[in-house]
Amino acid sequence: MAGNRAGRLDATTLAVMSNRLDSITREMSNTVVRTARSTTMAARDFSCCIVSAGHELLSCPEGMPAHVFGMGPSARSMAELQPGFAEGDAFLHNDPYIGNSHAADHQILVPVFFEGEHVFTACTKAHQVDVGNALPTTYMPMARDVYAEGALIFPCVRVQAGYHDVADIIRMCERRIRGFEIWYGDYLAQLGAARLAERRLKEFCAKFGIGTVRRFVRDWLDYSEEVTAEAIRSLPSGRIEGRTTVDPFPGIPDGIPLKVTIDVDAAEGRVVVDLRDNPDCVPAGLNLTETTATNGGVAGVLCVLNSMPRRHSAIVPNNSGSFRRIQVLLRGNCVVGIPRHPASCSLATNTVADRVHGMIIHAFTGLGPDVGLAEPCYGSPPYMGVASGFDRRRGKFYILQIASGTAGGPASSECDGWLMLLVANAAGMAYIDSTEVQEQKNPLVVWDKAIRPDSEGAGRFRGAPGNVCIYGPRFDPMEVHYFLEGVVNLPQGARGGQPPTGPEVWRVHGGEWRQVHDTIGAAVLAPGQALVSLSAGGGGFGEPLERSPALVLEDVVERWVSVDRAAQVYRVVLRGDPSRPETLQVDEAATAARRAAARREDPGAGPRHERAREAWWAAAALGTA
Amino acid sequence: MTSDAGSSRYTIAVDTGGTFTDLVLADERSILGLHKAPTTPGELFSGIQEALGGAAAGQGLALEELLARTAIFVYSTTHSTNAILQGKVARTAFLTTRGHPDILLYKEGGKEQVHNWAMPFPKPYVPRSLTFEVTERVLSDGGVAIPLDEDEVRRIAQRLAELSVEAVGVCLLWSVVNPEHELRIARILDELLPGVEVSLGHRVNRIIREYRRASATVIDASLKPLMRRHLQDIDTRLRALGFLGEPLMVTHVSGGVLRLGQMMERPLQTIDSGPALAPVAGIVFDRAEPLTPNRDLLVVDTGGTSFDASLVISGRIAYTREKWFGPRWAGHMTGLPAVDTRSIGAGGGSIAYVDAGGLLHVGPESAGAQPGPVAYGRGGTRPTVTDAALVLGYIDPDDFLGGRMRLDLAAARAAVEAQIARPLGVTAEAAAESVLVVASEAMRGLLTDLTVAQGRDARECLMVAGGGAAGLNIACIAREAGVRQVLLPKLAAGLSAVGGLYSDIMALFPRGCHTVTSSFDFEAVDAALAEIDRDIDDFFTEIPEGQTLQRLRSFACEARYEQEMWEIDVDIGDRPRFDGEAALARLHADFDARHLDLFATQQPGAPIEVITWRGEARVVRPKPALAAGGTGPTAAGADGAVAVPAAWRDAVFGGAVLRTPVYRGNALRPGQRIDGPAIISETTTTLVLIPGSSVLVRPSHYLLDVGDVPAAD
Repeated sequence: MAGNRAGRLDATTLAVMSNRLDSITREMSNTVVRTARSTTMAARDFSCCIVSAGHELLSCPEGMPAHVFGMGPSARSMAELQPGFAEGDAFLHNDPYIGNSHAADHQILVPVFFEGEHVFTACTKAHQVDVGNALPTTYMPMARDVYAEGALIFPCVRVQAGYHDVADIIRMCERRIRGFEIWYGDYLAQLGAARLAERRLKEFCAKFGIGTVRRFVRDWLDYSEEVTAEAIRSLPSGRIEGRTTVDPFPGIPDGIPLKVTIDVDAAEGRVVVDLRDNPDCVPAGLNLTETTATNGGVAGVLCVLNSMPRRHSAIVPNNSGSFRRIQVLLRGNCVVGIPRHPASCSLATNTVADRVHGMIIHAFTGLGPDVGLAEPCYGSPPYMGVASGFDRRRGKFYILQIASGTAGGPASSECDGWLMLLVANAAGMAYIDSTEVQEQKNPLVVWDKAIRPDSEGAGRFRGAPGNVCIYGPRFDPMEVHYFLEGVVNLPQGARGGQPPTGPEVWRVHGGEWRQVHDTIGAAVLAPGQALVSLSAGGGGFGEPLERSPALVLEDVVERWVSVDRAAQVYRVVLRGDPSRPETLQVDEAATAARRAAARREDPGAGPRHERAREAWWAAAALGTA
Repeated sequence: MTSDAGSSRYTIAVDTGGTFTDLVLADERSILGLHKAPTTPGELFSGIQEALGGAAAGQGLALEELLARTAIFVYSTTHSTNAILQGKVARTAFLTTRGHPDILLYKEGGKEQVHNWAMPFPKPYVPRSLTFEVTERVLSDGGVAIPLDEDEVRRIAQRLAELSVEAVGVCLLWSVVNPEHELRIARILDELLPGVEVSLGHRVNRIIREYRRASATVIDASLKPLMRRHLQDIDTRLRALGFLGEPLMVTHVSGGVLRLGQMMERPLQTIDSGPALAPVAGIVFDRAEPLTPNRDLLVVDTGGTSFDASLVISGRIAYTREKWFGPRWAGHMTGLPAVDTRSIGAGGGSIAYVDAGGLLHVGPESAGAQPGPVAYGRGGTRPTVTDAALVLGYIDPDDFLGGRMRLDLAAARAAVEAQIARPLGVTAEAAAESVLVVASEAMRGLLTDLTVAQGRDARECLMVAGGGAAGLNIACIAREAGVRQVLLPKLAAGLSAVGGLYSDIMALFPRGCHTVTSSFDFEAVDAALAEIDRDIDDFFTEIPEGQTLQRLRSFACEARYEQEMWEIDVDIGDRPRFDGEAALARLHADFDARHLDLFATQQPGAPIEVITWRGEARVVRPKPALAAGGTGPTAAGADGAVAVPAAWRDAVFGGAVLRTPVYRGNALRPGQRIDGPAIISETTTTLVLIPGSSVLVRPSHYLLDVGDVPAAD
């Protein structure tokens, strides 16, 4: 089936070949998930993709937003730093200054050859449990620079040649990476996926012929660009500004005020995201990399386009063709820009990156009544902390990133927030750990894992509530690292929607509760002690007074929202016995009167009910095998 | 055709699908026929009765006579599936460990469409308002950290009565290791809530991973009242019509059957049991084909709205524990070992459209049966796969569904022309061919995902293609998937009913018992295996000796390299004892090989963690032949007669209009060979032979060779 329009491939061949590439990336993801050793990777904090010989991202159907954009630049750095790259090579790349997201994400790049010619690069990128940082955590917000951060940096280093490991590199990792066996198992999973893609891509070239493959790459990216342009044309044109502020961190007493200016040219089908008017790099691990800063702009716009009501018939593809219509302007030495070595970018996939994403989707709400979203949950409380210690059952050190909770997504003009967003840059893609698997693999106990009622950002559509997660060690002391964000500067609601509750941390010791306000948390827990993680909800969209009383009643019956909060924030009058929710009914007349009277009042934040603060497990029999 | 009168004893297998009820009738020697009747939703027995009437008439018998001479009745039902889809299950409560009320809400996370955040979050199977936390906590080694608060359970029981709850699913953390608290709760509920059905996690699905076990438990509980009634009702009504045979055999999601009484205790097993029978039939058809020995089977079933696929590896049906009921992540998962059937919304009714970027899409939106394809003339305006096949001349507009429906070719053509051809700037014929190519590509994608997940290469498989719409584009799908040969049963339109006929009485018995090979707990493992063995003994005792042939037991474990997150199945043979270092060495070798097979990597010598041990009990039932007169290649004798077309029709292949012969299936003789282009019209299905392909006619099926894949441009 030859091309029929100015040398373009016909629509059928284009559809068939793009579907075939997506099959290959799904096959890669399947391999990684099924052979992963770390809970981090099994929780899907990884992305697989295929990049063209021209270093453009072609296929990444299930990738994490934080990972996607950088795959092209990383492949480009392979060509620049390793000009002699050859068949059988594989490269380990986690260099934040040349295309990677942050040091904790190890990429494996495998150049794919067909008849001696480089045709594709297969990439897997995954967040590791440990990368040799100065402390047992992959998140080092306190690091002044890359030296203090301590991670081993691999600037696209050859880790396989002739399909065999370069033993030097593996030995370096063995000396510096905690839980080396887990790292090596994950490395094998990533490598296995990339090698599998290599075989499949050779078959792909053999089946379609190299000429057709080249035309496909060109036409598929052009097609994706056209779909994106078409989606942008459905937005109103205009210039919008957005602002948000990252909470104070040690050494940054005023926090980091962020700003974005967005120009939407609907007629041309283009968006320009200007992030240059932002502070210089900070002496902390919070700086973005060029990749994650660009990605923040691109992912924010893609999120707005794909979350529109009456969406375009086509989903905007996640590839370099789409990115052409979204120009992101950055400057050097900027916290949201291009960092200068040795600035630390330890947290470049979250915190500031999540703020940039949230600021952009929120800014778009200024463009029209059904565009954009409120701000999502921020922060990284202990439900996603990095825990470590000695496991007496196995006689070994253990380290893991807990994934025993989640946090709330923001509301949009026609939908409540997604309950399990986790963070903007995970976008709900991540898996949550099974408590039983967690307790079987590690010497800990998860006492509580439930939604956090009344923590939603109220609105006509409400943000999702946050999560309560409580855990502690089983036998021996456990060290936990985490950090908080979005405590001082809550996620903003949109168009009259309210902010949610921010994250909190409590320590429970013998039934006594103590709130911990440290922004950067490091806790050592003894058996019987527990860490309480309360995660944030998402912002609301539209006035709470406009929320359908039937939806408010449903939230009350389902115990997402208390009766008091329904009355004070949503101004919905319920009749019946609150202790027997099945008896509750909306008093429509009283609700209407109350809402009319409340129009000009400030609704206030309203009551916040936590899950009962009772350490019912404190008497648990622990500490013996 | 009438059977010889006298003593024949019949077996009947019925599959009640969403649209049709399929019935396959067999005597002791062979299958006698397939009979279809429309399914009446909400009144499944009427479709069964109508199909029975057709079968009886085919034998020249009254319905009562047919049933009086029927020894075994196999029943595959969509009743439980429909009840869940329509929310017509029992009012069910969920009791779980304090601190973990949101197991069913959170599930295991995950989401479709990374950049779309404006999707409603899926509702849990049991709402939070019917979820109750029980103060108690068992730890991973079975130790009790917090004892059960029995007074609290009594208070909850009172609330459940107030709430008029009809069923309760109890699933506590670590009940797989120590079920004592679940058992005590069950005793309290039995005492305080007589008549309320109770399902316990450790009984319904004894595996770790609380979401899957809890989900299985509440779904099981929610189905118990209605499935007891439904199964009893079917049995009663059959007996009222004269059926005197063995207790009703009911099919399950693992591709086997259980007797009526056994299934009433395990209603969860009936969900999605129909598609699970397709590979059972696939195995039987494969055995009837001597030219394709020892091949893995890719079994597909194409209906009007969905395309289902399953896999048979080395003669054994591929299982999964990750079968979603409903969409992945948004639906429900039970974690039960189920036949790995996968489905996409692609069939005759799938709608084709061109998007803003000029790309052609087919499905997942479907015109369904109402309004249906444009050609049905029932108000459908968007072109479908069936419309495209009609434009191409593959379907005879005057002879659709045996002439029961006339199709409007002109309307189909106009829709394809306006909505596909014009935007793409091609002819209607080229547009219609593109629709079939893109539809086939989606189906090919499903086959790749399935074979990949099971560690198999589609190119080494024989495809068995069932379903009424299978023949339209199967050669195209096969070529794209790299499959060379396809077996098309003459009973393609009733593949699952055929599977029901050949299914064995079978059940799986899992036991969680965690151990690592580096410090293997022989004692605990032996105890677990002995328990499973006793369960199998009990299971066999429930089935009276009689005409059954063999009673087989086999064992497997679900294991992973230490610290890997997911397990794989490893067979450990038919002996219940796991005794000594030699067995351990064998486990290592088998596991390493299987890991390599599935994921292309292995780590010989690395410690292996075993999570679950599993036994399979199987009572083999008699297997009649697929076709009267045997199924061997020359059983009916190829007398050298050349097949004669019944008609000639214009059909489009690769852009060319070809004068194409049309054969009637019932006029073809075993041993005859037909080369494409050609169309073979069977009463319930149509087979399109593209140029370069050919079929060999067999007594029970066609063996299609798809020929060489044409080179790309």
